[in-house]
Parts: sequence; structure tokens; C-alpha cells
Amino acid sequence: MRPLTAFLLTLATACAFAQDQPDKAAFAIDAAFPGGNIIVSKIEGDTIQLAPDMRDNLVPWFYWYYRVAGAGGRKLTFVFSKNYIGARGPGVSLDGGRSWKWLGAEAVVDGTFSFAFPAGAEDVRFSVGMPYLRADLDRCLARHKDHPFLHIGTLARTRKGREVPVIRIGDPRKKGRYTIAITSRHHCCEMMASYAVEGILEGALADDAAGRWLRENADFLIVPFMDTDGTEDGDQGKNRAPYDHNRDYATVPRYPEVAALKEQLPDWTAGRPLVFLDLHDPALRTDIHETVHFLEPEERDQAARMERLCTYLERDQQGPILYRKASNLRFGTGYNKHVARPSPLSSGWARSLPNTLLGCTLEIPYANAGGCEVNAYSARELGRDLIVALKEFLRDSPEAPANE
Amino acid sequence: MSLFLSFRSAAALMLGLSITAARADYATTFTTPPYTVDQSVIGVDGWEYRLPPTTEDSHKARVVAVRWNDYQPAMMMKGANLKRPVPQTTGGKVRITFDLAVNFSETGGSLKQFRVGFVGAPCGEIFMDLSGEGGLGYQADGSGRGGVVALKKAEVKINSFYKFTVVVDYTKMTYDLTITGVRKDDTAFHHKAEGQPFETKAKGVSMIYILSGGALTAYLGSLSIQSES
Repeated sequence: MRPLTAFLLTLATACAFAQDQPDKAAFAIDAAFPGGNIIVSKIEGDTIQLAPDMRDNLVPWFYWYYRVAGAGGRKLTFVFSKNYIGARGPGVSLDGGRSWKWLGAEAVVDGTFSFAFPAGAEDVRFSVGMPYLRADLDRCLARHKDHPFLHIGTLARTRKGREVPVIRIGDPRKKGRYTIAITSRHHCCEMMASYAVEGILEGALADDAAGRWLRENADFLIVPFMDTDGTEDGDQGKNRAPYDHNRDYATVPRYPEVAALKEQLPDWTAGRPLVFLDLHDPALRTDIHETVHFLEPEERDQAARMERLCTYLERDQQGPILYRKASNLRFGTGYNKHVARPSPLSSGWARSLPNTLLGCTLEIPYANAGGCEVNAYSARELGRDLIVALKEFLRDSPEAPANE
Repeated sequence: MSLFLSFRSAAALMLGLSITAARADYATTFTTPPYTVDQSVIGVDGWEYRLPPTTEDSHKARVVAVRWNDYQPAMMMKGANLKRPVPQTTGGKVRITFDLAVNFSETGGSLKQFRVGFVGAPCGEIFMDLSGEGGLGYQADGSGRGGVVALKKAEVKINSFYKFTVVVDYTKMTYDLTITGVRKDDTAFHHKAEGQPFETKAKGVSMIYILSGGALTAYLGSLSIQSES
């Protein structure tokens, strides 16, 4: 069901409900805004049954994001399947999606939670996570718009005609010795990774030891939304049909963003040593999905370099999320078993480039990382910690292309 | 106005007397040499291992520029064990102050993951206990057991300095302890324990020791031990 259809259906249902109970104000539930995604299957009294809109997904996933308007002063109960609620409950925003808090695991019973809307609350958002959209990135970039090392461009146009932003950070007067490429939202629903990307961006621009060293020695290329259409449309993205953006690297790409990255990244590095990090969120909860973890590459030299980067991250981290390198997913274990050649994965493709020092995937949980809360602030701080680790890693690295 | 000025003058005089009566036997904010940002403290300014390590692990206690504190240097500890002898304090009192911050997960770890003790100061070990009913506390014995939890773990704000002040009166055989900072919800926290009795033959402080577990990160922002008459 598309957002507009869902909106009209739910608005009609809500209005009908309001007529039955004239003493209560009407409320409306919709997903007709950037990133929106919901199916309202039933409204009965103050209880609403909902589910994520799977759209073109091949397997069920869990992304949802909706708005409730006109419910100020009421208490509503939202009923989901418990598979669709994360480790700290739903994300709630009282300011139109600009800032978020977790409602808390204790507020949810079997996928059902209630919310008492503050009087006058006109736009309350709920989501499986803390949605991050192009408007959020634009706000971040606006804070740094005058930074002389920041350049904002367009990687490509999407299949729907949207611009795919690409951010370059580097000394405009010279090329850095190293290159660092950061991508996220190959799976558009994985929004918490975006906050870490913001932290990386802000760390690279920061006037501190790590920022200064990296700007002196490295150039950054950051693609925050590899699936820009999916992000703005509120798709699941992960496992979309016929395959998703992070399964598009093996042959001629289906998606323009992927094609552009495959074409432009090698030229941009110009043979300089490359670190490529692709940021993701794992599944919603349990086991390794509630830890920050890197996926160990199959190649032994790359695995050893990843281990070194992770050693620095564990040693130097100062942010609220406590990363433990013991949480990394070794190659051949769990879901880290991709062996197809050429690799359909972005990090696998990056590792196939002759100048890649390290190409790997980092998974950042939606809500809970080993007992540490994942939120906008803590995920950004994880990004800042990554910047410090990258500085240490590169300062210790040989300059020559290092693939075996 | 004149009364106010007189009061201020008297207060200034008293403060001056207090300063002249106190002597910083040891004080550092980790901001100036011999401390260097991103360097271990082992072998620096008298800091050494409390227990010999089986492998080189001097990185477990380093001076870092603390990002969440405007890059002010502090000693960051992750699984460190340290000691530092200090000149034996003199006089009837000793004032110990330090700033301590911790970062820990809600579910990881147990027991007292951070312990700092001052040999000769009878306030016991000051600690961060990650057990379910644990938290920031003091008066633990040297084995890591016991103690008074002043701020429960669930209320401790991570990456936020708590200021500890301990004044030991060897004449009266009592000590006062205060802890100030903010709770997790950003409300002010102030804990005061006055006139705590003790029995000891020690007459001063002679050494600092720290045991820091791997389940948390601890930051020591400043440390001062002053003899007072």
C-alpha cells in the first residue's frame, strides 16, 4: 500500500471513529511524509492495529514510521506484532521527527504500547527507530557549510530523479595520502547508521587532533544515502525485489547510485590507499544484533587490518557506546558467509580494488548495543570514535597498495 | 555595605589562612608535563603498575583529551591497575579531592569494576560497582567487598565527572565525605557523610592505588592530596 492510500484510508477511518464518539477529538494517522511507512488495519476505540508496509520486499522486514495528528490529550494504544518492535520500544518524536527518544522496553507488551499524547500535540511521530532523512543531513551540513574542507556534490540521480548527495572532505589545495570512503543506507531502513555517518563527518571536520591529522593526510568521500529513493519513500529496502542495493555490485548495476559509485570511487582514489567502510544496522534484536560489530573480511590481510582498526577503536573510544572487538563476526560464522565472486556486496567489491587497505562492513544496532543505548547522540559519538581509530590506523599503515 | 565588606574581608582572611595551612602534597590535573595526551601514565610522575602485568598493557591507563569534556585531559583507564606513592601527609588532617567519571553498559559487568584507595585514609575504597544494586560508593574494604552505595548504578550519569572530597581528621578520628555531580536525569546530586568514625593507626596518606576492570571506562580528571593542620 502506498503512503497516500494509507493516509486516506486511515484518515477516513479515524474521522469515522470520531463521529461515533463526539466527545473526543478526531485524530489521524498517516505516513504521507518523507520516510513514512505504515499500514493501519483497524481502529477500534482508542486501539489501533498497525503493521509495516512491506512494499516490494521479498521477505518480511520491520521498518515503519507514522504520524499521529490531533490526538492531544488522548491516550491511544498501538498494536503491532512483537516482531516489529525493537529492544527499547518504539522511537517517539514530539517535534515532527527532528529529535527522538525511545519509549522504553517496559512500555511494550507483546508488541503493544500505549501513548498519552500531551495536550496540544499536533504532530507526534512513532517509528521502529529514529528516522534519518535528507532533511536531517541538510541540517547537519548547514552547520558546517562554511568549512573550507567540505564539498557537497551529487553522486548520481536516482531512478526516480532524486539527487544522491556525495560529501567530500579534504584539503582543496592538495590530495591526501590516503582515501576514506564511507557509505550507508544501502538498506534504506537502517537509519541508525546515518547518525554514525554524521559523527564521522563532524569528526573529520573537527578542530581536534584526529580531525586535523586526517584532513592533512586523507580525503573523505561519503555517500550517506546509497538508496536515496528508498530512504525518502520509506521503503524497507533490505531484501527488496529483485535484489537490494547491497547486492548490486557483482555485475552491471541495476541502481544508478551503485553504478556511479563503482565508476567514480576508483577514479577519486587515483590509486591512493583506500579504507572503505559500509555502515549498516543489523536485525532488530537479540544476540549479535544487539552489539556493534564489524564483519570480518574473508581475505586474511584485510582481516588483520580490520583487527588493528578495531583494536584502536576499543582502546580509544570515549563515546557512550562501548564497543568490544570480541563482538566482531568472524568470517564463516553467523550470517558473515558471503563467498560469491565477484562479490555482490559493496565492501566485497571495494576489497577487490587493488589499492584497498581495508574494506569492511560495520553493523550498528537499532537501539541496544551490549547494554548501551543507541540513540542519535551515542551513534554520532560512535562515529567520532571511528574517526579517532581511523587516524591511528592510517598513521600506522604502509602507504603502498597492500592487497596480497 | 560596610558590614558586607567586613564579612567579605573576614571570609577572604579565613580563606587565606586556610590556604596557608594546607599544603598540596600531591596534585595533578593531567594537563601539564610530564603528562602527555595519548601517552600512558605508566612510568610518568610516579605512576607504576600495582601488580606486574603478564603482557604489555600500558595503554590501559593513558592521558587523553576528553571529547565530552571540551578536550580537557584526564587519565582514562580500561582494565588498569596502578599505584603511586605520595609523600606521607603531615598534620592532623588530610584533604583528598578527585574528579571521577565512568562509562559502563546497563547489562555488562558485575562487582566493583573501579576501585581507588588511599593508603592511610580510613574512608575505605571508593568504587563503582556494576552489580544490580551497585553504584558509586565508598567505604569498601580492600578486598572489594562491602561499602556504602551513594548513587545507584541506574542513576549514575555516564561520561560526567563526579567530584569526591574526603577530609580525614586524624585527631578526632572521623572523616567527612562528599560527592557532587549530576544524576542520569541531569538533576543535581549531592551526597554528604559527615563525622564518620574510624579506627586506624595511620596518621597520614602515603599511596594511591587504582584497580579498574575491563567492563567500564573510568576517567580521573584531577587528583589532589593536601595536608592540613
